[in-house]
Amino acid sequence: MKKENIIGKTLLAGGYTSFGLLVAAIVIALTVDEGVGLTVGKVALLILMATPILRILAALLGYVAERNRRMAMIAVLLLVIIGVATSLGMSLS
Amino acid sequence: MDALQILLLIVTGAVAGGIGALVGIGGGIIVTPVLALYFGLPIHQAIGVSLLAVIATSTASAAVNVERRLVNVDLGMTLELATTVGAAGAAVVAGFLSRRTLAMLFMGFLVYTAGSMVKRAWGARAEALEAGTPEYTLRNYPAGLTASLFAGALSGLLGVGGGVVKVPVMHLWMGVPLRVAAATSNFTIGVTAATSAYIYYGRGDVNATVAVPVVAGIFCGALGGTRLAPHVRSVYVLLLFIAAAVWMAAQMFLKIRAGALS
Repeated sequence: MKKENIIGKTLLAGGYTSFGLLVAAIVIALTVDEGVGLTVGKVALLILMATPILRILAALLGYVAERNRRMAMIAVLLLVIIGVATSLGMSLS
Repeated sequence: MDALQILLLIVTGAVAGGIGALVGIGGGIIVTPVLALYFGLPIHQAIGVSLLAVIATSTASAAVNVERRLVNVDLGMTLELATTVGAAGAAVVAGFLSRRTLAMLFMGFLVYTAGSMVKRAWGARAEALEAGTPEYTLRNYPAGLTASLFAGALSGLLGVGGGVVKVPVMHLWMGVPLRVAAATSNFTIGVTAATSAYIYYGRGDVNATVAVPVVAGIFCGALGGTRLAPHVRSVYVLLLFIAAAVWMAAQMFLKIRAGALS
């Protein structure tokens, strides 16, 4: 599978899972229980926030399969930057 | 929260996502001011929700554009090295800025974006619907990375995508065709917005009660807009967007003057 297809499928999976859960959350909040709906909604938002990271991992997989060493290193570096920047940012704010 | 308010938030998201997909912006530029002006959300929280809206727009449109080979994935991921650094730095800074300062910065950004869209609308008034993409060679990576650092900072500070900065630089200085530049920018804003979203989330500035309906609406609007995009003359959507941006900038100005956002 080409890296474009791996990335596309990953984004599609993350997007649709999150969207499906968001719709479910709204329906549950309106018909069953607001608290339960909010919990489902929070899970949906966390999946949404994780999707970009999964996308980088998908690209990394594609680059490794292509034996594109330079871009694979950029993908790893990107993950390191995000990890360091967010943990540093959280401790600062 | 009652059903009507949930519905209004879904509609807000759908309109922002739809216009965003049609004009090629993240949708954050609409979500932040609408939540701050009309739903009474503190601007830091409005930005937090908006960042999630940007991730959703990027995810929905990139899922389609990557497989259509419209996105230059290598270029996008390289520029993300800079956008993420800018985003994280600005997300921290935003935590220390007052509501008033953030509102003023946002107002400036609205006016700037409206201005750059006027230019684009003028250029697009006779445009034909775009077809294929021409061959191109990339140049001037330093300029692209610098612009990306700045675009990332805008994203972390104001909860927008930053495409208004990145797309022209990619197009004019790096030699990327406009359609590819727009699609690539849209691809990168997901990772960029996620980086600052983690910091906003950690600070408690992501209000899930508001974010859930808005993001659900964004997905609907973005999916619809991406489908519609090849069949719509962008100039009309641009004009609609410009009018909305100017209107919201004026409203923000009045609120800042009245001290309502301080």
